Formats: sequence, C-alpha cells, structure tokens
Amino acid sequence: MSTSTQKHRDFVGEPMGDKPVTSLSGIGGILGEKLRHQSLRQGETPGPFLTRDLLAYVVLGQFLLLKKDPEMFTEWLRDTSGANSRQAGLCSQCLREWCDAFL
Amino acid sequence: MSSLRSKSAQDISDLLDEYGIKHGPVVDSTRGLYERKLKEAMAKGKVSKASPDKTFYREEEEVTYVYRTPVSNPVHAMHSWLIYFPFRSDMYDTPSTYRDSYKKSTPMKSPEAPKSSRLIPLWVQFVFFLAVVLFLYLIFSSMEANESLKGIE
Repeated sequence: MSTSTQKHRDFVGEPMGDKPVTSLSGIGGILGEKLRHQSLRQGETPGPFLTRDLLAYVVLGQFLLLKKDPEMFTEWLRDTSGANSRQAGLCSQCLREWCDAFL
Repeated sequence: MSSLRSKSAQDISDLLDEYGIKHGPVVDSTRGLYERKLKEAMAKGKVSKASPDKTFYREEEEVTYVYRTPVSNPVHAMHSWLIYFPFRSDMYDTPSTYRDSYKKSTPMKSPEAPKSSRLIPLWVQFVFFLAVVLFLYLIFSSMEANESLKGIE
C-alpha cells in the first residue's frame, strides 16, 4: 500500500473531528449506509445517527475496541458492512495511520 | 459448546485466551465477531491451551534435569560441575536468557523450589571452584618444572 489516495491523505492529515464515516478511505456511500444501519441495530446511541451519517469516530471506536488489530478490524468491517478485502484494508490502514499521528 | 450466545462476556474472553486469540473487551459491538472466531477455532479442532501450569511443569522438568546431570557421569564430574554451576547462578541472578525461553504465561518470579533444595550455598561453590582452579594450576606448574616443556610439544 505505497500509493495513498487523496481521500486517504485528507483523512490522515488532520484530526477527524465530526467527519462522516464516508470520509474514511475505502468507505463509500453504500458502505457508509450499511455501517449506519448496523450501528443502529447494535443499539448504539441513536441520537446523532438517525438523521445524519454515521460519524468516523464511531468506527475509530470500534478499531480501538479491537485493540487496533488490523486483521480483526478488517474482519469486523467485512462482516458488518459487506466490504471486500481491498476496501477493508484501505480503511484499516487509514485508521492505523490516523492513530499513529494523533492518538 | 454450541451456545456461545448464552455465555457471559467473561466466559467469551476466557475462551478467546484459551484458543490464543488476541482480543479486546467483549462488548456488544465486538461480541459477534469474537463468537464467530471462537466457532472457527473450535471447528478447526485447535487444541485449547491449558492453564499456565503446563509451562510451569516444563520449567520444573528442566530444573530436575539440571540437577541430575552431574550425578550420572562420574568421569566428567569436574566438567559437569562447571556446567552445573553457571546454570544455577543464572537461575537465581539473571532473568533474561534462561527464563525467557520458558516464561510464557507464568508470573515473573517463578516459584520454583530453589531455596529449599539448595544443598550447598553459592559462596561455597565459588570457593570450591577457585580451589579446583588453584589445584589444577599447581599441578600444571609442577609438571612444567619436571618436564621443562618438552613433553608438551
């Protein structure tokens, strides 16, 4: 994964704040929607997620819960959103670099 | 075995440890994933690691082996003492090489039987070793005086 996309660089370059989950590398509109549904199903705090997009930091939370293990996280992402290996790998790498820079 | 759903979070966590699966806390959002991983591990028939007692047993086994070595070879008794000696000092002093190879899940200070089974105190061993060295040196020097280096070449 030597070449990073603009989306990746945009995310990793600054604190994520309230960026939507779709700003994560590898996560597009469809995957973002699936993740949002999943988070609602799992009974996470419904407040901000009913009307808006799922926020990226919620996925960060999941990444941290899995102790930043890239394998576990990619498996979880694939299970939850139906992402393929490439997309999950991109997202995992994106979050890992963000954590290295800001956590 | 089949009803992972009904197990408590702690049980799931313990099972994950048994199967050697690195994991974080078992909460709502991670539980499903961990249950699936456990099912996979169980289906593969992976032998679940036993408790740390196994590692502890190996350490004990190694300890007994070390103790028995000098007794079995009377011809190399001197040599065995020299082997035996550094092992014992490693056991009590340096925690790095000897302990690291056996220390997986055992606690830091492994509670072997060292102090109670030490027949000869360490300082006595030092003195004995120095006495042996001195003895050998005396023999060598007396040999040198008699043969004047001709026999050696």
